[in-house]
Amino acid sequence: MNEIMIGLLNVVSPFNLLVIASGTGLGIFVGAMPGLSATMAIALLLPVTFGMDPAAGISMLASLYMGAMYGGSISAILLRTPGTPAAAATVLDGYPMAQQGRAGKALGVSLTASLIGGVISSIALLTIAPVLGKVALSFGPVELFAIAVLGITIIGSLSSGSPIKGILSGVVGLMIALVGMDPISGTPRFTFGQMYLFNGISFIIALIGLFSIPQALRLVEKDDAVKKAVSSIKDKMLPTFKELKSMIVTILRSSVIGVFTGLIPGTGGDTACWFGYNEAKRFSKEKEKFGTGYPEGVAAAEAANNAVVGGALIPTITLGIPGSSATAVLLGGLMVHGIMPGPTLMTEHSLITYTLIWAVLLSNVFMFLEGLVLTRAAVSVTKIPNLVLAPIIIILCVIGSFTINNSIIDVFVMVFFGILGYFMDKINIPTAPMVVGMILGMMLDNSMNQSLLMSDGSWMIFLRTPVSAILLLIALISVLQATPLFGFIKKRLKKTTI
Amino acid sequence: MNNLAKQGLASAITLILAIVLYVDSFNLPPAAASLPRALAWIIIVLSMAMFAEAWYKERKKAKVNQETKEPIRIIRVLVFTSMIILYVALIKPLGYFLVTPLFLIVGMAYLKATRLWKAVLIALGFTLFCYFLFVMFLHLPIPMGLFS
Repeated sequence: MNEIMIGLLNVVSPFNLLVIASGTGLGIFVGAMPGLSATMAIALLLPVTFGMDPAAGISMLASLYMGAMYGGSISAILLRTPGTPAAAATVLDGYPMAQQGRAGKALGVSLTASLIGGVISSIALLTIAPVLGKVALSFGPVELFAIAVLGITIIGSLSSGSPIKGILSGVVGLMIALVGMDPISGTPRFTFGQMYLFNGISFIIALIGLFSIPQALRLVEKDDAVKKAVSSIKDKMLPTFKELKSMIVTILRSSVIGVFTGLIPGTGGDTACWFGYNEAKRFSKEKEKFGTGYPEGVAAAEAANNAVVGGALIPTITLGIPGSSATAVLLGGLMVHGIMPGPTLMTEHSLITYTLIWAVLLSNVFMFLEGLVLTRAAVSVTKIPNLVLAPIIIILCVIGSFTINNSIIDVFVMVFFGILGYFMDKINIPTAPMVVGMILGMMLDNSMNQSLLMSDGSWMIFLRTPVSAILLLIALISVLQATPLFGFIKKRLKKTTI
Repeated sequence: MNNLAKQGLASAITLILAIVLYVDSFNLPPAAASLPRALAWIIIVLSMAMFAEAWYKERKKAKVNQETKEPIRIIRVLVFTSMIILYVALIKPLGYFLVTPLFLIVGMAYLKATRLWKAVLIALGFTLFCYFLFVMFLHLPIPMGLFS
């Protein structure tokens, strides 16, 4: 309890409030720009937070994430182009509302639903994280190994595209993490005589490249499309109490959906918004109104995508397993300051962790207030040509990756990962599992070696403790469901039931 | 290059990488080699599965209509990527203040992103903004080159 209060006191310091407010504002602008993702913005901002106090830095990154979730709806409503993939479902009712001259109302509903979704997920984070953190503290190397295996298989098999490619990307990430000095034997591993590789490949450098360069190259691929006319905001933004009352059930349902979707590694705002929208439609008495400019449709999608933030942070800070690509970068923000992911985040680094949790809660309030003021300004940001943004993103990547270790080789490595990410994107191999693999690689290696030392080399140790056995079983199911075998069993079961 | 060839190339590269790392793991003590060897095997299996999946999908796709994709400007991506590599190679010897505005101006002019005078203004403004943000405000190092 004490740590929770200290975290609260820390977060309300003037400097922390300033970074949360600026992070949220930046998030709203970045989210509003189609072509720029929240993950990329967090990756680019990461080196900026390097010089800050860890608690302030990580709070700024998290509030950017929250702000971007709302920002995505601005262009979804006004331009019919979702600013982030998490706002894809917002287009369905948001754009028709704007066409009917109710753009302000659509944005107001989006803002209010985002606020409620975000607050609910923050409360879930504040209540579940300490409990789960305590449970995680009792975990030994055997359980940690199982958690790492589960994290990589789930994020790999649930990522967009083929599960085979997702898991392959994750395993390659694990392999990259093993480059450098082996902590047990002290021998250099896969360094091929290169001094640079003795320290291993910094996953922060890799993620800046993987999440930013491909995005810049994608902007260059096509000519700037003729910008569609932006619908103007002429009406009042905030919904009335009566309007809010009519959609509160939908907002609450979507918020719960968002928290749970965020909890599962590999699924994020892009899944939650559709899930929330479809469930709202399914439960609604006026199903036919969805898709015609119905405020409840906007509220359902927007509450769900903001609720993902708190949900995704739960496994990130209690177990060290990022729930989404954006939280993987947030974890990178902690590692820049030498804080290793895992159960110790809730004990040794509790001040930073609780400051982060309170910052997420506070960022909702800032998002609401700044949303009311900045939405009109964010509209003008969407008019910046993509081809101007591309070289600017490159400068931020280059300077950002240089500042981390003051090394130009790091910059070349970043560019290498960027080009690799571009090619991976072209053949639909997701990059997020690779980054998660790079984060979990050391944890997997250490916990496996420690467990095998305890068992005199017997692999059965992983099946002897119930927690580990269950987690590994879930991991196995998540892998098997991606194979043709699972489809075959499902078919057989269907046949026998008929 | 068609889709199957691209997937085949990616499978071959990951397969070769896994084999190289597997062979290299024999230089390591057993404790340091066990995990990389296991991972190398998984990569080998998955890269072959990726190719099999692509082949299966290609066969299925051949039966249905071919979908048309919006063309991309490959030359422009290649030239822009070369500009990035050149920028990174020159920033240390020549320095941030010379190479950064040059990269921005040449980049935007090549991409025909905006008018030249606007590109110059954006380049100078953004170079100064980054300098103040990273060096003056955050006290982080940037390569100064000739200006050090």
